[in-house]
Amino acid sequence: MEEGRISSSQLTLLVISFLFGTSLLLSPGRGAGQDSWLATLLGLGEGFIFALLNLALYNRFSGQSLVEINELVWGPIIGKFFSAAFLWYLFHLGSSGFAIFVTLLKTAIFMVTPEYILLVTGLITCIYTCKQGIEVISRMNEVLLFSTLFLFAFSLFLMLNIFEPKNLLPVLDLPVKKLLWVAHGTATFPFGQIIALAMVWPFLNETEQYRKSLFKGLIVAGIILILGEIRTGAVLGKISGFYVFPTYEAYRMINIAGVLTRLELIPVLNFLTMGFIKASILLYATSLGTAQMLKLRTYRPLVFPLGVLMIILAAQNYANISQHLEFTENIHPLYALPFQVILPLITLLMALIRGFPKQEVSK
Amino acid sequence: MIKVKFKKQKLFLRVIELGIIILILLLLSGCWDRRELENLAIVSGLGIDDPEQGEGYQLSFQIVKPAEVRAPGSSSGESGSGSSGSSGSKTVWLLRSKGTTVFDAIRNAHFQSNRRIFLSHNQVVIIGKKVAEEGILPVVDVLIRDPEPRLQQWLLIAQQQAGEILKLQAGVEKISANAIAELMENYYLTSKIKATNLHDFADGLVKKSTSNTLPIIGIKEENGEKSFILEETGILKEDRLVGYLDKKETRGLLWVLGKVKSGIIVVDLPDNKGKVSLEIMNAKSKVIPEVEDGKIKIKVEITEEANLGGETSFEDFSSPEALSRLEKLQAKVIEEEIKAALNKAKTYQLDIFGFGESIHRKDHKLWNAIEENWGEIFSQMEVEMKVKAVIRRMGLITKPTIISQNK
Amino acid sequence: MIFLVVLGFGLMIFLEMPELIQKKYYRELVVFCILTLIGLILSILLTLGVELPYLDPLIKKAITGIGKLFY
Repeated sequence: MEEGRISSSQLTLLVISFLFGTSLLLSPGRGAGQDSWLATLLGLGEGFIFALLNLALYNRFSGQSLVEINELVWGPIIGKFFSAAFLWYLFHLGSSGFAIFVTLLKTAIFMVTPEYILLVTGLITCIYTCKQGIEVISRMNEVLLFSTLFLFAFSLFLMLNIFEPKNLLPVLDLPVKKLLWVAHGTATFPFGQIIALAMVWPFLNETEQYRKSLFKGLIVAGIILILGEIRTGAVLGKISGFYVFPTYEAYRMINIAGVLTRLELIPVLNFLTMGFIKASILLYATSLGTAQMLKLRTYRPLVFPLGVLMIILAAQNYANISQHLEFTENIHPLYALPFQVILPLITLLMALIRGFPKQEVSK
Repeated sequence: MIKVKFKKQKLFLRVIELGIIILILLLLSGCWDRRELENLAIVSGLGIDDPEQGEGYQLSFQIVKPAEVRAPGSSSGESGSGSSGSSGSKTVWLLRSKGTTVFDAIRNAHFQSNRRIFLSHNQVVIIGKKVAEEGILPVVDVLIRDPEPRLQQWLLIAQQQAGEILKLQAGVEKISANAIAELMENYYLTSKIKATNLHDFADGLVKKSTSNTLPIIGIKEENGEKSFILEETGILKEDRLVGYLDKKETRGLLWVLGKVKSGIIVVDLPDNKGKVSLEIMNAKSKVIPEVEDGKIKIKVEITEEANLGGETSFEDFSSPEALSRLEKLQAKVIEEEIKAALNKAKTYQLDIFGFGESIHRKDHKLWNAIEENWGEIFSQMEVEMKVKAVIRRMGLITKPTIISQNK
Repeated sequence: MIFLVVLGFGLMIFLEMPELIQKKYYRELVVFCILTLIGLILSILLTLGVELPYLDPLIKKAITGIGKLFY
């Protein structure tokens, strides 16, 4: 099915880019205003619990993807049902990534360009990469992540003169309940979403390293996201909670002696590269999972039609920006739970009850 | 047979590939959102006024004529005498349009302008007094919401009509809006102007405790020649202009905000001995909220450093004692400036200094309790001032060059 | 517009199908055809301007519906 193998450091980088994906621009903790960094930190903690849970499941079935695990634990019929639910989640996640991509470009840069052009051009690159397999995705990721990190660090430097630490005070301004809710939101987006990588883990060449690389990736991405939140909060102040894309606004504030201004394309660039990696991984995971679920010999022919369906769904994700904001703020934290926590949890419980692994499964 | 078929297929694939390449060439060579320079009307200044009759807004765009800016021969034209619709100066075109909302009026400019109004390089937004008194937010909302204009545009209030100011010629500059923007950037030369950009303004609106202050620009007429001049500072209640600070009070405000960078402090020597001008070199401020038995108190600490710039008296300040006497006088002047601003703000019950914000930062529970009647609390609040003003250097001479006859 | 959509799908089928038939991957072919057909129908409906339901509000309804069951 997939002959490629990736190294543990490549997996770490994949985890980082996957977590950056859309969240480097969208600021998952924006609901908490100047406390968004705190919310992200708490979310990272909660995300760790999710990751531990998934790892506990994966430890028992080393070398198997989540779809295969479902089949082993639940049998062919219920297992397929569970896998289908999981694949739906990945598919929907990919489509919402495309939808955000269009929303950003349409609000900020390409206001006249028709949506389908943006979607189709984005899709073609993703399909091409996915067909090449996981090795190509992860090698491409190395280059793109490097550029993203460089741009991120560079822009931090450029924002030093508008950095106002005062803006981050007071800490814990909003009610604790609200803070926890936003923190939970950041746990489900982006940290909990790494469950999508459960389709990729089996391709690690050093099979025992996945835990380390997952944690490394989580920590690095978490720290950088928190840094980003601190930067946005300190640059924009209280008004950051009012913007749809606070990070984008923070970059608009850059002004170095009236020469280096209007650098808002930097976050868009980061978003494009990282979002591309995220979308590719999701499209890859969906196609691979579908192929595994239906016991096909190759996933490659599925990439094209699934990709097309993904962008069709992306266009049908939300009718307007307020639906999207409401969804990310109020619905997604609940909607993601069954896929990120409940499904792996009951699979793990069932595996424990049935006494898996019964025999060493070789791949 | 099979081989031939296979070859045919390959050829067909080649054709398809070629087709895709051509398609990509066609698609990528142009994009929908292209903006060619020669199709844009680059706006350097925007004025927003009430129309003389009817509802809505009247906008004045100061549009740069790119060809004229470059030409070396086009010097300052006749100033000020342009009728509506055309500007006095040659390098800019003053376009006016009306609309029921600001965005509507921006688009209505295309009844006259063939080029697309392009706000990305706009430098200043001047708001007419009438509009400012009715409320600025409905006017600037579009400028914050739209991705095209920048948040670093300077926001000013015109003493009368904003359009009149954009019409004027500015000294040596060809584009007067640029001159106004530079006035804002160089505010620190006097530190008597409260330069505010769109982001600051929006941030101030979000922080409910702090009232915004905006600079006011007026017209000065001298020998029939008109030019603009920065007059005073307007105090806004929410987004409506309600009061004014004069120049002295404005610097008082800037002292507290920590925005004083430079400027001249004029100290009156006792017994009418003359005046000393001190050049501010460095200033810092600290606002410390304190709660003493249920009463809120604000402590303002100012540290300032100045150089002796010049004096009109024969006094000799070269001895440490004389200098420290002068330092005390200087501190007193600063304190008076702050007090003047404070008293003015207290009469309006509007916290322009951000004291409320500092309380909020220190103790947000207390703040939530007093937020409702903050204006009232502010107006009765005790503000303790501690000014530490020092004089470091006195220029190239130690004593006035004329020896006093009295001594 | 519909012509472009059909052309795109035609291209997709043309690029994928021959390989599958040659390798005799019939199971894959069936799945591919089903998915492509769904995609084709949906995209034609969209280009014709048929209003399809949006996803996020649907999920919201489902989630609030489930929430009501518990409270």
